[in-house]
Amino acid sequence: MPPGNMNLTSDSGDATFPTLVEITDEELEEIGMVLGLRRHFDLSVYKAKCMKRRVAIRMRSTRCLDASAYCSLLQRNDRELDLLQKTLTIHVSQFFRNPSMFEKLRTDVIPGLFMARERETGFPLRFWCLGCAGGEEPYSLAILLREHFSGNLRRTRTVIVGTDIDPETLQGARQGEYNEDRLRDVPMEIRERYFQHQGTRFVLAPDIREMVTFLQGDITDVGGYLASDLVSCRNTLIYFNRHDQEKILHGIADCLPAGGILVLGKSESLVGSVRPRFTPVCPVERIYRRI
Amino acid sequence: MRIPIGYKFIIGFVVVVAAVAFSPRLVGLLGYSAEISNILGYVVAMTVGLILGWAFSKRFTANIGRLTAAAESISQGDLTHDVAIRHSSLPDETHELAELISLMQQNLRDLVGHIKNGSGQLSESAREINSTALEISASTGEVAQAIEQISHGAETQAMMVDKTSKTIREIAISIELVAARARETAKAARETSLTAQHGGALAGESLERMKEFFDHQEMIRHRFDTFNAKLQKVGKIAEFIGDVARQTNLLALNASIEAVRAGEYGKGFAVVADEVRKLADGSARSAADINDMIENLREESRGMHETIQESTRTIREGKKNIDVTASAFQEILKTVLETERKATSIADLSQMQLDGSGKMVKAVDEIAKVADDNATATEQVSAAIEEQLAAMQDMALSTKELAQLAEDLSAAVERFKVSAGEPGAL
Ligand SMILES: C[S@@+](CC[C@H](N)C(=O)[O-])C[C@H]1O[C@@H](n2cnc3c(N)ncnc32)[C@H](O)[C@@H]1O
Repeated sequence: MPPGNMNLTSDSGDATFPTLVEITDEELEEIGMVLGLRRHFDLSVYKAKCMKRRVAIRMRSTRCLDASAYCSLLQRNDRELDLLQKTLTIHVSQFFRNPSMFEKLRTDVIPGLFMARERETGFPLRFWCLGCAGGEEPYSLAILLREHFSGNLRRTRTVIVGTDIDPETLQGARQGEYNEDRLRDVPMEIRERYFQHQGTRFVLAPDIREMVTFLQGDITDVGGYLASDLVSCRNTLIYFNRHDQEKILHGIADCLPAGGILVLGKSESLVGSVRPRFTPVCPVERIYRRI
Repeated sequence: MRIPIGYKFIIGFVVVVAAVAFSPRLVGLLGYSAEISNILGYVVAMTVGLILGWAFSKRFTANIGRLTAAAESISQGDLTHDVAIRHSSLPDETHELAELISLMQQNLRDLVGHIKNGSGQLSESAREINSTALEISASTGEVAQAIEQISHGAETQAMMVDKTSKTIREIAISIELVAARARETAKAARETSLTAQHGGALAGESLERMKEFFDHQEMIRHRFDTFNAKLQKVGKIAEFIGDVARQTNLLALNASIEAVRAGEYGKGFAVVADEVRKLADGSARSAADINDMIENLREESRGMHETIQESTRTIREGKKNIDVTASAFQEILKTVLETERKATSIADLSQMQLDGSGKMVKAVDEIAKVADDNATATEQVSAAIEEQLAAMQDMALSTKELAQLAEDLSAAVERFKVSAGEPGAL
């Protein structure tokens, strides 16, 4: 080999690819403390196992071998704090996720809500999505209302609010642009009516976007709940530990009037002492009515 | 022997200068006139200089030209041609340059080949990972659905358990009620049985008294009969006295008649006979009175007898009633005892039932706990699945980017031609 020849076979050393990181409870607590101090983000309300996995992802990405290294990185680097927070909160969502649930709302729930509101006019009808991620769920509600209840919408003022803890995700929600994979459950004609195809993105029609208000809010802040007629809190409780689930559900029960509706995710349930406060409307779709 | 180009220039220069310097003298040897020799000298010197210069620079520019061509084709991406420079016994920098360009070309060729291979593989792997991620996403979706199904089951279970435990609790409450009622009944039955016993005892006592009464009555009747018989005897005596008085009266009458006949003498006697007759009359009257009195007594005693008879009948009636009452009490006692027995056994049974329903409540609570655990577990799985979905989405996204990068890289090295057969980009 000539003296000037380059060495092209890079050694695929494992040093650059750290294996699975094990995070202990104490380490998680340490990271949680940084998050709490810098972002007012409370790690302890979530299921610890899940949080450990999520933190491990960031640690591997940043090549931190242990929690203290990662903590000092967090102290120095605001961007990493953003990334960590984004990784910790999982934003999987879909338009019309579980279509049968929306169908049930359309046939069995929403007509009654409008009817009750039309009898005692003056108040707006309030829909609230807790943990709304990229806005897919509140927008789906808005589309549903626009499609099937346009008459009611003219007669009754209707408010749809989406709250989430993650500002970046909310920003995306306000923009209302989505990749195709978020629209998998959207029927073709709805897709054509309410979305504009631009390159790889689908842009939601402005009149639907205007129907939804997005607010940043922490679901564990039970005191700041909005009085609502229908609360949809789907696939968000699963990340929380039992105790906080119960607290959140009691908070929701408190902000609903008698006859108000609660919708949960398909694998979530009314835990412990909350169950007696609701009666099922459709247990399969996890739709409950406040007693 | 390597001679640097500078030296070659100097040597060439020196040769030309020498040629110029020596050519007039050589031309002079030809014997032309001085002027012609002079001109010829210049001509020869210039010719020699030109020839030498041409020969030298031709060799030199040929090499430079080859190098330029090679650099140009490399710059255009063609790495297939080697730099061919004629071998020289006196190599200079151009030869070194050629060698270095060759080496560079070789290295570039290796690099490009490597990148081409690598980016191809990279793009392929990225695509593979991407499609795997999508596939995992899809199957994760299926798992999610299955979990939702399970969770639905768990929810239904929880609801049924809720209902069941409510029902059981209600049952337990009614069982408890039954038990309480049964206990009350048993107690009441016991009280009733006491009362019935008391009543029975009282009835027995009444019967006892009645028997005494009958005994007494019998005695009275007996005495009464005796009294009647004695009365009859007295009557008979009174009759006898009456008879005697009547006969005495008759005798006295006869005696007075006789006395009248006897005259004076019989006067005294007549007085006695009259006295006797009067006495006999009195006796007869007394006897008649006695008879009357006895008759009255008899009348009265008959009435009394009848009254006694009457009351005996009534009392006998009463006795029959008391008998019925006593046997009724007996009957009541029997029934009440039976009731008590039954009530007690109901109480016992319902206690057992209560224990059973307590156990049932416990079992249902346990089932509820299991259902709850189930719900928790499915929820956990669901969270993990959601996490996985998120990861897969991220992965799909980054592998897409990675594939794009690989493609860009591959496009960037595309214009480099590495082997002769392959088409170059330009
Ligand atoms: C998986 S998404 C659910 C999206 C949507 N509801 C659905 O079912 O498709 C969960 C959302 O909860 C949000 N979240 C997590 N922790 C939260 C908190 N403490 N307060 C409010 N939102 C939170 C996350 O940012 C995320 O967008």
